[in-house]
Amino acid sequence: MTLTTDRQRVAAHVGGRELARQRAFRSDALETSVLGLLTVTVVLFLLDGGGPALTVGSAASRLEALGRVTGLVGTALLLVQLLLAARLPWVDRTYGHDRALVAHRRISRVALPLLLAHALALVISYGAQRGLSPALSWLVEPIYLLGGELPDMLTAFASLLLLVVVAVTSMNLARRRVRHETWHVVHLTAYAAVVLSIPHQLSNGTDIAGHPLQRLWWLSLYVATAGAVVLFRVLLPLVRSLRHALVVEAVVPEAPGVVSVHVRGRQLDRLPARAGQFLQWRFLSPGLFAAAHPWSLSAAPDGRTLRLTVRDLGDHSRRLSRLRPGTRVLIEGPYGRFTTDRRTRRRVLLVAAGIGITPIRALAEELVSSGTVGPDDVTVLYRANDADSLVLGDELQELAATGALQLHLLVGRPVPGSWLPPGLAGRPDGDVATLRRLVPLLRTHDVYLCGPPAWMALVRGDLRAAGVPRTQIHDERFGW
Amino acid sequence: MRSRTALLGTLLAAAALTISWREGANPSVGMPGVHVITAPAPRPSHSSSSPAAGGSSPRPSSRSTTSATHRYTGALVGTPYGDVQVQVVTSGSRITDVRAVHLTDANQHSRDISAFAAPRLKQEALSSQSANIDTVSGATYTSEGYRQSLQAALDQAHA
Repeated sequence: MTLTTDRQRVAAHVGGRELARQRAFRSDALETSVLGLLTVTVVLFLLDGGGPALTVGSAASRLEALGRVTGLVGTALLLVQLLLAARLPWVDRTYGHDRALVAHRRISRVALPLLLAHALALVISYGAQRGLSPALSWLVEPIYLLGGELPDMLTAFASLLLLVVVAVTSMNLARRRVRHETWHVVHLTAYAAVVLSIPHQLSNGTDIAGHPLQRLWWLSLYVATAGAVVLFRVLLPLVRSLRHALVVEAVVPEAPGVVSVHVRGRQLDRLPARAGQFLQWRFLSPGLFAAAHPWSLSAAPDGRTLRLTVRDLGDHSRRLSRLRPGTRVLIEGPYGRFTTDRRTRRRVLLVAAGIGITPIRALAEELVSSGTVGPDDVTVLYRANDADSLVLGDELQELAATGALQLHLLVGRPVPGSWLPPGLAGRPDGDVATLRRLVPLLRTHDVYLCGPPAWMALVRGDLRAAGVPRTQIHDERFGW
Repeated sequence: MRSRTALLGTLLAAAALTISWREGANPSVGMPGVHVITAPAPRPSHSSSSPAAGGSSPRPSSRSTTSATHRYTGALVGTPYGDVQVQVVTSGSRITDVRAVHLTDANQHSRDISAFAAPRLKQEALSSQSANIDTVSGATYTSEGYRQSLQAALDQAHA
């Protein structure tokens, strides 16, 4: 090793700590903006006499005030959800797309109940003002409202119904039964739901209709959200897809039920794709064009081609094996922050299970070819249920054979409560000791982790038990 | 979020909410959206003006006289949900009746609210013998318009 490469080695990974600091700052800024958004929303309500309206007066009028404030806060949260799913580069760089979507899901568990409470509270309150009992009004009052007593009620009720459908089809139980493509189309109607809810806010909203300040506030929120969605979810992917004119170059079987798709395009060196990232891929061929799927790059981008490797999970990925060379490809992305930018140490441990090997394989390639690591600095642990499912295993073995990295293949059926295969799992001194034996100087490694969520939780637990700081553990969640 | 930022943000948010709650609790201070369309124009005391009835010119405040009973029509006050205008009937120095000339009517719901609030506002005016009346909950704008129009009418009465 020359002096130059030694210096490069140092330089390549000190950036990770600075990056972590910036990320902490950015996440503070983003979370503070959300807090500010909610605060301003409630402040505008309170300035308009919302406080006394909530606490003083008849039950019906207090219920009406409650209906107003739940509607306002619920809508604000709904917009935050849209922004989290809008692929904003800032959000992706700060949280990663996977965590942004986790937050998106969590917020929906608050936003939807609030919006349901909004509708129910107002319906019962209006019913009470008409002299209907709550037991009756939730059923009867909507008929009056939909009958034209208030404008724009039809769209408002349709909006709520759509949101309920979107939420129900996204529940874990339903996700397992609904095809990804169906779910995706249903999920996109959430945009329609938000748009459908706008007219009744402008025409009836006690807090919006006729209040210049509140109107301005809400209109700017809508315009900003719509702008972000159109720019980052539609225009940017379209521009990138057109600029790079991607087509399928080859489809290569890797293992039973696993194929690699090689994609080539123009000026791919200008696509800011990194090893460890994923893209949403949409293949323009019959039966495939309807939905885009998130698949990781399984090779470090070389500026000329991209490669993704897909395991046979559903109808869609099965059809991939019949893709013809020359098929056009649209992309969204690249997304994700599972990249070597996050390195804080020179040594790197890459841990993968199953098809989670795809980004790990790309990271290994990038690290080895970067010249920033020595021969003993990179270790790969690759867990698979049997030898047949060791996808891309031969490529890793080639890298290991040149001495560029240490490779441990952990093959065998799943062991309950352990991330290790039979034989290594459940040794008397525990999985943590086994991990330490497999990876000398474990604590001085950055760890990149990718696999099924339950398996990753086990690995993460043992890494923490072995003393690896949380800031050195980076993971990518495959929710698909 | 780092705990220092979270603490600071929470404190700021709590302060903003508290202040806005207090400000909002007193809508007459500066309630957005309520404004007097016609200022009550003080008139010479005993002009022989035509009766305000008939809607020929409801906007200027007017005063009509019938024996010891006087009627004073208040200013037309605009709110986001429609205009509010009341007429006050006095006998001597007593307010004997308050009649709604116009109430918020932007949509059926605000008509419902008006119908609900008007009797209560009238009752309050009669019992307090002034425009010093409490807001009927759920009818903040109607109440505020009512109060302003009533005050304008009483200003004429006392002029």
